[in-house]
Amino acid sequence: MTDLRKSAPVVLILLLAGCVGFSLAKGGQRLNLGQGMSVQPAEDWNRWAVGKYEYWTLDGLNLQHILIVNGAEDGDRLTPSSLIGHRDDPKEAFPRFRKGMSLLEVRELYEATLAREKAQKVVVTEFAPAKFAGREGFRFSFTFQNEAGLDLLGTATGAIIKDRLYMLVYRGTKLYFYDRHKRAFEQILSSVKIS
Amino acid sequence: MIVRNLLFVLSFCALIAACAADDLSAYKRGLDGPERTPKGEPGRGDFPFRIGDLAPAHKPDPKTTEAGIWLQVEKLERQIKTAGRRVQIPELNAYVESVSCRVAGPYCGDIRVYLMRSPGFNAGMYPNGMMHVWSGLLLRVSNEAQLAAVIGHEAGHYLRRHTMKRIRDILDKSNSLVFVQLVLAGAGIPVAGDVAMLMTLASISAFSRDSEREADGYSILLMAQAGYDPEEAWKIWEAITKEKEADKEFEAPSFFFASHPVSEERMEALKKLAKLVKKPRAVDTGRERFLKAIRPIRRHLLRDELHQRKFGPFNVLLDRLVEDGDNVAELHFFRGEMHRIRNQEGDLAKALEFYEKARTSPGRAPAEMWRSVGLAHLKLGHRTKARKAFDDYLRNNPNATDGKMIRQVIKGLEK
Repeated sequence: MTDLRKSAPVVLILLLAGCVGFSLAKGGQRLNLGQGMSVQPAEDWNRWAVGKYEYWTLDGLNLQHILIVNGAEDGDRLTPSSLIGHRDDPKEAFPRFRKGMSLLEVRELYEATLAREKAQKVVVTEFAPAKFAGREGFRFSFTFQNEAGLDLLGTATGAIIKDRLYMLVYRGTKLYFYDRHKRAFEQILSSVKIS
Repeated sequence: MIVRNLLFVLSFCALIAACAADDLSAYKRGLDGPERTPKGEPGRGDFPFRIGDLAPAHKPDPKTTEAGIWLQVEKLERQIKTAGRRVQIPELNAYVESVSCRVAGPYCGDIRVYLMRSPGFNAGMYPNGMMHVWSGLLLRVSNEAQLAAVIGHEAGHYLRRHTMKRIRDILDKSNSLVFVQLVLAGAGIPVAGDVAMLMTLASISAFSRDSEREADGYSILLMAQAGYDPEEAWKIWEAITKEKEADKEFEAPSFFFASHPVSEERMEALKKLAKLVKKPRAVDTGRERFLKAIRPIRRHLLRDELHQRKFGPFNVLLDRLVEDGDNVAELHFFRGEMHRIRNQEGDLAKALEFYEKARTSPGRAPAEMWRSVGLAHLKLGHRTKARKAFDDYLRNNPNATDGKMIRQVIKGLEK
């Protein structure tokens, strides 16, 4: 079953309920995402906010998106439990961010999270120190396949600030979409401010 | 949420046909359709199973509903062939297919096994002969005979056309497709009425418990016919039961446990059936062949299990594998990983003990163990030991993709 088919019922319910979660992130304006984090995209993006997480896309979530993790705390997941509304059961066995985690463990945690998304053939191609919002952080790149066998590329970059994890993950299909908006992602990344 | 709703629907379907039995009487219940006993079949007069009413290379009459369902499943099979979840390791695929052929005998050409990368214990049969075996199952059988037991069980579903019966059962009980549509719509699944959806419901969830018992009977028969020791079949359930008990978060509904006879009952019945069936002359468990086939992928499968973060059952699984004794160093490494990642009181010290055990045990632990040792020391504040472990990691992995990050950590430890 394709990802698209899986998400179709969710999207349909939302359409029927008239409560589609996307809003517009206007280009050229600084946008406060809460918890002291702000970004300034150069162009308009579709934005879907769920709790501490946001999905931004230009072409559709399955083709290309940015996941923003806005200050995950001890016990939080790296992705929302549901796009409809993040209702996490902290007792559920799931890879979770823990206070005191090192940056090396964040990569490990993200890989486990990807596995729970049923991503396949995950390979981290490079993992190196990088600045994030002016702080010492990390950046790793990875490749994987979704359940249907589509090749995807990704880049995750972030930092742990005052025991909270801030991270942007850009993902897209290897064919066309990842490259198409990579520059736009880099621009958003360079605009991240955390106060 | 969708998954939960699907769980609800599937468990509902499972409940419709669920019934309990505690002796072999359930295994002797009327098998509909004519019975045929191929020449040389090792079944005895009192063994309640025969090969079913499907001839090898059977294709349904194109005018029938069954043919329509096959068409849908063939479409699904085309997708599965290129699915990301499909394990494509030529040697391993060839090995699993060879076991399937040995078990299925004249039906070899009718059954196609797809090894799917997924943690946990599961396998499934589609009505057209497409069989799915989850990679997690390879960690939970100890030898080829046990793998043959599972494949034989699934082949039994095919030979007895259980999926077709299940689909008919759902339709009969609901009396119309509309009912199913309503249930699915209520669960937020708008694509109801699709035959493929029905097929999926019927195949992945829930053959009834009676079908499962029947498939177990066929499993024993096919194992014996193929020259495997039928006594191996019940042993799988002993291990699975222990793992299930260790899962404190285990909650019904799980399709597998909702639709299958309870493990204890199943074990007893399989023991009795193994005694009833005519034993092959030479008993084969194929342990070495099995271990050789799974060795290259085992650590990836163990990592898949660890990603589930179900530490209790994972520990039970590791205990069983250590007892089994192949590449114990790798298993101690994963015991260490389990403790390090769980990171509750005392876990980091235990992790280090297991890493040390891995270093000195027979076999070979993965090279990333040094990084894990470094991480455990780092968390415990052992800066010198952490630095040494990270140095060892880089020395053993000169081309490590995380080399730059590790060097930065080492730099921080030098301050």
